[in-house]
Amino acid sequence: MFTLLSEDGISFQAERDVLERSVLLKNMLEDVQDSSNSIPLPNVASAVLEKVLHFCEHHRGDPLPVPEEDETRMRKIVIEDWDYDFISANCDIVFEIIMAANYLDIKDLLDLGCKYVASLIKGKSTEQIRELFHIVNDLTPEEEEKIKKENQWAEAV
Amino acid sequence: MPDRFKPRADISAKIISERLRSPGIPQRSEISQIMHDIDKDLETYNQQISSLESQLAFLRSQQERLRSRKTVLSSLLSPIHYLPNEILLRIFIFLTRDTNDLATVLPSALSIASVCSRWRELAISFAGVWSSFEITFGYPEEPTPPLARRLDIFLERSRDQPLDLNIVNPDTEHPLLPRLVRHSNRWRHLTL
Repeated sequence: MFTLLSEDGISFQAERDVLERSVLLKNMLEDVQDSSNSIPLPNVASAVLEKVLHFCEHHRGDPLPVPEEDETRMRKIVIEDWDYDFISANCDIVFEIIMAANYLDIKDLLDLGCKYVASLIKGKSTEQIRELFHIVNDLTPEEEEKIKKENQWAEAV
Repeated sequence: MPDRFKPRADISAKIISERLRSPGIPQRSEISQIMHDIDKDLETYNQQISSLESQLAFLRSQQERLRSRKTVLSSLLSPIHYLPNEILLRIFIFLTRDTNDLATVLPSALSIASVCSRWRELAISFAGVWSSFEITFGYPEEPTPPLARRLDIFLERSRDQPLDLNIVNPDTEHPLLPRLVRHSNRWRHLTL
């Protein structure tokens, strides 16, 4: 068992094959024989680390995604039921999970988070997207005019 | 705040009552003088009320401006602003690979490029956002049909990126087909 230390000082224990879902931790563990020292994760809060470890625990033993960027693989990704339930149940910290997955290099969790956010955007109008993510419209009048022309559709058809 | 002014006319309820109940003939000149003072006092009150009202309006507009700036500033705390560009692009790619139908009111790529300046700049700078799309033939053609305009935007912004196309209602006679064929060297996936 290895011990991880979150940014807010909470310890979590997990086995090697769970932690090796993370490329970052896998590389770190290769140099660590002694499991008595805890591994500090200064960028991951305990609330997020707990969820990340839950995900890794569930997927322990699954084949790891290929490390190189592959659009064909991205296209084929289907969200499994367990994963969908997991990410939906944690939708209030989905961006923190994405950031942690990016930092720890857990590709399948990163893809799950990104695909989930993409599904939130899907079918929404520009204004609805702004409302959903609290984004202020900072476009200049010139950009707005250009966008209006680009997006012209309903009235033209 | 304007200084509180001292009224010229001294007309308490008691004084008025005494004047009304006085057995003698009222002194016209004295009453006229009091009336004159009252008019001046009313005018002063009007001026002070106007001044306070404009101060109130100014304070309210300042308050409203501050509220709206706070709203704008607080939006920067929204977690999506803290995502690095490469992750935001990953989200865009998932979205546009899933749905990017040119014949909808707003295809996903155009939608995300209309949200804010950062999203717009990112979306336009990354050809992959525009290189996978669905196009439906069969809309009535016009001198400058909107579908053709959209197709041109997507073909231009996808630059030299391989194209993943889904053509719905394929029609070899369709006037937009030559536009697509001109880019056939970029076709990677074609679904009919």
